[in-house]
Amino acid sequence: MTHVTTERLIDYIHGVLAPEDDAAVYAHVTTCTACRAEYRAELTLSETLKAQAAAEELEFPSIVKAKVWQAIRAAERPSLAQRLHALLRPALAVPLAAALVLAALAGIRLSPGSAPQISVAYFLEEHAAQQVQTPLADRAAGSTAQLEESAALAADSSDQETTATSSALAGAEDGAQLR
Amino acid sequence: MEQYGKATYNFAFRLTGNEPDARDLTQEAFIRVYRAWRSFQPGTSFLSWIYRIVTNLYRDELRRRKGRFQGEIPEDNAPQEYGGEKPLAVNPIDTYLERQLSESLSKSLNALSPEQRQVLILADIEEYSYQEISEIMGCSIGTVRSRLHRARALLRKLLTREQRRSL
Repeated sequence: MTHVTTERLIDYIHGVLAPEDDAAVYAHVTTCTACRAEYRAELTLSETLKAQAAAEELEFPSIVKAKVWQAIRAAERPSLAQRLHALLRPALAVPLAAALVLAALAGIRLSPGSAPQISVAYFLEEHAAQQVQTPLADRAAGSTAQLEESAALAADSSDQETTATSSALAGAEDGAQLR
Repeated sequence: MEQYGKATYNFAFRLTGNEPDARDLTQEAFIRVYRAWRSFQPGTSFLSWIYRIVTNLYRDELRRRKGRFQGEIPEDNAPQEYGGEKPLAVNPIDTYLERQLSESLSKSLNALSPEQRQVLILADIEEYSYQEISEIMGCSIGTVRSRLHRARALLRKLLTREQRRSL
């Protein structure tokens, strides 16, 4: 019987032969001493290569990993031009512009020279309430003469409401000055 | 990188035969993997894909070095043909390998061409099929087969020579 070529034995060892060829080589190798020796030599070569590789196996150097991440991070970091360009994107530019406009408007409203606005009705109500509770504390009754006059008026309970109303009206004039 | 780093690095080391080149090759390969991540096809072997990248990088590097390692290929590297009865004498490679002459094996491997060394690594150490090797190396299955046959024949010849020298 014709011997099996070394090439075919190599293919046999690597399991790439068609099933019928594989079976034929197997049958021949079991009966032919010469081919069996050749088969063993090829098999030993494969096993030795594998064993050698396993014995020489190296650990993955951490420096390689570190350099890879360093390179990746450097590639990901955008340049100054890219960062400026990114600011012009509508997603960022529109809200940014809106925020600037609002800030500008708020600046105008809060600028020096414009007095805070107080409602006249609010002022009158608050002032009248204070006068009812502590009529002597009113600024209009700051002088001694006025204090005496106010005390006399306060003694007359029928006139008390009138005094509070007049004081409130005087306060209204002060409030108007605040505008 | 945690999962495939060691295998890739060892593959690169076996290709290049030295650690500094293996480190550079592995580093560049993983950077390429990161950049080309979207081109990876799910369902295919990720390690095969990395090996293919390593292989291409190694080929480029060899070209850049103007095939410096290619000159080491002996002329007579044709595969052996056995037409007649083979001698029954013990094959020299058996006794040689039994002595575990790993240094000589490494030396012999380094004497192979990069393609021959690569196909041996992929077929015998990594145990890839011819089909997978053809995809990794970017060549036909026929080329894989012929390269493997030649590589093994040459390796056996080199090992036999080493054995005779050591005797």
